[in-house]
Amino acid sequence: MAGNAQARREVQGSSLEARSLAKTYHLQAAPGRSGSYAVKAVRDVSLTLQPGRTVALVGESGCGKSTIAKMLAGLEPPSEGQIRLDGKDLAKPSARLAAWRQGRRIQMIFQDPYASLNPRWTVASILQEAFKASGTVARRDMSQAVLRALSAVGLPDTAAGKFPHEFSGGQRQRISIARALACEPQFLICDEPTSALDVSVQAQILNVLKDIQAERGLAFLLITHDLSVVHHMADHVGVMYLGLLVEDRRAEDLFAAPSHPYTRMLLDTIPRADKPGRRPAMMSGEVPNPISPPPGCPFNPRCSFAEDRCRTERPGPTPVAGGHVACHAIEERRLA
Amino acid sequence: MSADILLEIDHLDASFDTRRGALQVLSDLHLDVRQGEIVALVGESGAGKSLTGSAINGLLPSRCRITGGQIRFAGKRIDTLSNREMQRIRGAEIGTIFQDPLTSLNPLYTVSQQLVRTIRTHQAVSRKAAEARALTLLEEVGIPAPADRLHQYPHEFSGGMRQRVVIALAIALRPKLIIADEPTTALDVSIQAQILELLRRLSRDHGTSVILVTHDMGVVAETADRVAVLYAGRMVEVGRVADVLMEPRHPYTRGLLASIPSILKKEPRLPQIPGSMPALTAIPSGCAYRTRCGHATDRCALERPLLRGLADRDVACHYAEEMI
Repeated sequence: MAGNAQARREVQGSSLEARSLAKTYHLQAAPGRSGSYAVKAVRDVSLTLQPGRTVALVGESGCGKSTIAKMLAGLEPPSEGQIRLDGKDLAKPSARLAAWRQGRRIQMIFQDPYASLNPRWTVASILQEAFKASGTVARRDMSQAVLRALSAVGLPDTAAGKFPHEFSGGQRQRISIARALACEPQFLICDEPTSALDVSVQAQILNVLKDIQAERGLAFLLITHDLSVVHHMADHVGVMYLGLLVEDRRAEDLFAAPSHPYTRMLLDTIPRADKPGRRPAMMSGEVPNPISPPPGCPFNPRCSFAEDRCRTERPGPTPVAGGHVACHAIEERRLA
Repeated sequence: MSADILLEIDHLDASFDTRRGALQVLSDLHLDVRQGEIVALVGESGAGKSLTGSAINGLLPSRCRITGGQIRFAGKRIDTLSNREMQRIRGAEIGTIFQDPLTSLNPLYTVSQQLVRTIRTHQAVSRKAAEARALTLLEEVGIPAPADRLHQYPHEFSGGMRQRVVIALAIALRPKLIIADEPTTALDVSIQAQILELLRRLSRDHGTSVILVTHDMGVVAETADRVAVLYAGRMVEVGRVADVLMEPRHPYTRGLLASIPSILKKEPRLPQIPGSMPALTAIPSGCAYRTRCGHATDRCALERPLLRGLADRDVACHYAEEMI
């Protein structure tokens, strides 16, 4: 274990950097129709994961946030762009394999704790498999390591001999976290980690994640649609809309003064338990179909600040306090 | 009982029949719903909130039955009605909206066909009149260009629009009560706000009562007039939304509200309730919440706290007065 601790210290500074990531899916046309569609799920997204910090990606369904998670975890090759880690580009297949062998430095936990654990394996075998794959633990230390991994996520020793169906949703998510941590990753990608859980259990899982980050200096990428979870967890926030990053800022700045009209609307729309009787602002319309996104700014059909330029020209990043926002109205100072 | 009470759930018990005997899932539920009122049933999974909705509209799962108490709707007992009699009430007087709009619509029929069938099942009107009615319904639930969309199939609608169609079906016969079971859980926040506003408007304009089943305290805060908090098949706190959410008296309500991350202040850790909801086979004696409660005493293990009236609400806790 001493060697591992040292290895961790050596790589403490390394960041995972995504540059201009893009992902295009090609879909077959419906039966009886000709041609095919190209769906641009992610367009030109850059972000950096740093040790001990949490970056959150928020947005409504279909905005591309999970696709980014999959690309960073190596589950989907990007169509364009780079994923840089220690000077290597993981977007290249060869480098990705090398990084994988290095001990799986990037791990992921998924939304559904029911679907992500093998129902026929005991918790001990699930965790041992992860230890074996990472090569971080010798065979004779295995059972000790399993117990340590369980206690790190707040599960009792007796959990080791049980099967996934014997646990509640929250406990299963703890097992998923323990498994992800078995490889001693530096980067943990959490795709909606608490969306399938009840709020009281969500609080437990968020606390576990925060404790682990404080102990081990992990970098988190948190994918969620829940802005209050983002507010609780994130240091940096990326707001996505139709595959584009529309606002990319330090969490404090974003929550103090949201800039992009879409971010403002999201913050106004979320139902709040602490304001009974409040009637949320209404956001008109719906997210357009990603097969045929509107020209110009993707948000222009729903935006009350949209002008002609917004309908023709895609806005570039404008610097604002703590980050960037992609909005013509902000750039032209029509909107403060 | 005052005249404007539409629905009375009177000390209702329900059980599942299992090989090992009856398993109680709802225990001593007691709730009145007034005309035009939106009452939320809130709780975590397994609390029995959806089952309560099913008990009202007579759609309990086949092995589940009501074992005690009554449900009265518009002064008439409905829990003893036959399936056939209940069918006449469902749709016409009690409308239902489910979580997943895709599975509550028939993919093989157009929206118009489904609406017309619903209307003509309960009312003797011509096809033409029913179609005209369908058009106004789509307009009422806020579907743009309703005339064009009337003859489309459910798959041609987006998730939010589909839920509007489901609502149109639910209100087609102007029911007095709508049971909305997690109506916005499958939808994005911006669409959720639109659907909740639609429910509020229907309740306001037509005096329709709504039972809103949800797990989301935010949805409760912004939609309902009153709220009943459920835990392990029992009601633990019932009162006006502002009272219950701002000054919860039951330790469970309090713990639940505290564990929601706030958008206003950032805490290093969230206050958490230890453990999880007990399985139906292992509900603790006395107060069901006592094993997770920080205030539990010996009395809580021995004596089940009944729902009792405080000044502004009902609470099922021995120590409700001290929980300020």
